[in-house]
Amino acid sequence: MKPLQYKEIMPKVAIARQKLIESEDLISLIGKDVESIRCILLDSAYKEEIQDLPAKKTNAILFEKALRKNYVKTLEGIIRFSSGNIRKLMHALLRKVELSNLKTVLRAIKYKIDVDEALKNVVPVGTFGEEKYREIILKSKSFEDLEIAFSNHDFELILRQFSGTDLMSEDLVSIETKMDKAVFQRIIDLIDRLGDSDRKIAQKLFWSELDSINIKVILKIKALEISPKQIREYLVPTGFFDVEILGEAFLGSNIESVLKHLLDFAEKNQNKFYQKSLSRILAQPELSISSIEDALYEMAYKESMELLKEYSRYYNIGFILEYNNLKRIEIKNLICIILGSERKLTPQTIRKHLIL
Amino acid sequence: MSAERLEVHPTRLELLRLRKRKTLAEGIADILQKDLETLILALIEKRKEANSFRNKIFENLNSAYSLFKEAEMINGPLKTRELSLSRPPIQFKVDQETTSGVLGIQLPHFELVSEVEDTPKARFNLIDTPYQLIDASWNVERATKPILGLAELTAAIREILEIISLKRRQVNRIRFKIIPQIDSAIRYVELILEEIERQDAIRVRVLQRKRKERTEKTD
Repeated sequence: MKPLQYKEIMPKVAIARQKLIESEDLISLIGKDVESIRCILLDSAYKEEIQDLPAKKTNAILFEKALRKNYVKTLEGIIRFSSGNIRKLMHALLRKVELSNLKTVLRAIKYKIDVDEALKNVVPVGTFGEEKYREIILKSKSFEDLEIAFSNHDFELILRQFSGTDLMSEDLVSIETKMDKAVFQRIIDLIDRLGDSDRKIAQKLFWSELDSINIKVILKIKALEISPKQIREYLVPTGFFDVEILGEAFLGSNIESVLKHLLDFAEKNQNKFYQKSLSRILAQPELSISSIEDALYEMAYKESMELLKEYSRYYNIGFILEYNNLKRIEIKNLICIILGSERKLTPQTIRKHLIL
Repeated sequence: MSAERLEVHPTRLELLRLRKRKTLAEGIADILQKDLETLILALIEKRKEANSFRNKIFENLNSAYSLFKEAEMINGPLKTRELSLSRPPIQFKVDQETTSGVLGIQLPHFELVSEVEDTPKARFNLIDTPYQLIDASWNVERATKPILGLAELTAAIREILEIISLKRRQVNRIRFKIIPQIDSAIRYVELILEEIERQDAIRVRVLQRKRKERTEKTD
């Protein structure tokens, strides 16, 4: 029996999935000049956004913005056809993009970045277009002003926790981290409201993303020699690896011992996915934070692929979330190829950063 | 090259004085020449040091730029640019002092005073930022010391070059102006003295001849 909430959304996502660029086609873009890539992308799901780009004056920055706009449009399309808790969850995922816009606003206000320069980073979402953001950047000076600007928006609550905080003197990194945590927490809360099997799938998928972020964070904290007491401040809500485990892993003498500790925990709890992923990372000939970051990003992507094999392909949230992940990765890969082509990087260098 | 002659009294005493002056001038020129050679050696040494600093700066910045490019590929050029623009700048002060260098010359000395925070904090959002960007920022930070070292050496090289040119002018002035002037004055005094000597000798011979004639007449 088809669950009612998937009646409309499934065909929509299935069609959108068909429009994703195949890995072979992506690889064939490597080495082509920006104009050729533009022409090829005119025959893809990105047609509308690419058409708006000025011909012959297109650069990687304009491409990035066009691709991000397309991502927002795709998510908005899914939201339009979804209902109930799935709709709320997709909305929460879209908030991640909006949070990036809010961070841009904060950065522009605090560091007095030129409004036109700042607006290049803004991807319009819903009623919040570029003009609205221009107005917010020009008129807001404090968190109170921002709270008013975002009244009746999900961010009103997030911004309220900073009331009385001086934006100009406060450390932006900790503010941004708190905002990230709030957005992630909202997604977790919404996942908890999903039905049994959907919850299991969404949790697994989202946990792998959270775990990969948290592992990256502790590795960076270690490299930056930040006090272990401050770990909690930088970690996002946890997934499979809780704060205690991450804290214990952090005490390891080097990157390898941090990962080994996490692998031991995965083995103890018989989590095959993490056992496999962490063992693969540890088997790398040269362990560096950047190579681990790439591997962790890939790990989150692989988890969604594995899940689809485990559960039924259609009529569950996994299919939608997997599509969302695939779309994000496709955009990331396209940006990487376009930038590589603009900077005239070797195909090998570009290929190294692709997630296929 | 004809040197301008000094105004001197053509006396034997003056001649002795001129010869003494010439020996002194030659001595000074030798000392200055040795100083010049020492300064040139110091200059070569400083140039070598400057090269090693330049290489360090190149290494750090080159690696910073490639890491920045990688960060752009991972995070996208827009986001990377925004993250880079919206970070507090690296704060540091430079203390300027002078130290006694080669031949006691006062050379500038720059000391980097980093404002180290009590508890290290992240400069970038750890969730958003790829490690390559953090590493690139570190590499730029690491380049500050060699940049300062290079600035110090450049200032020292400039100072040494000024002193070299001053010393060279002094040596040249002594060798090609003062010594030729003294030489010409010596030659002039010697000529006059020789002339006086010749006149005296003729006068003596005339007097002797007259005395001889007078004695012959009286005899």
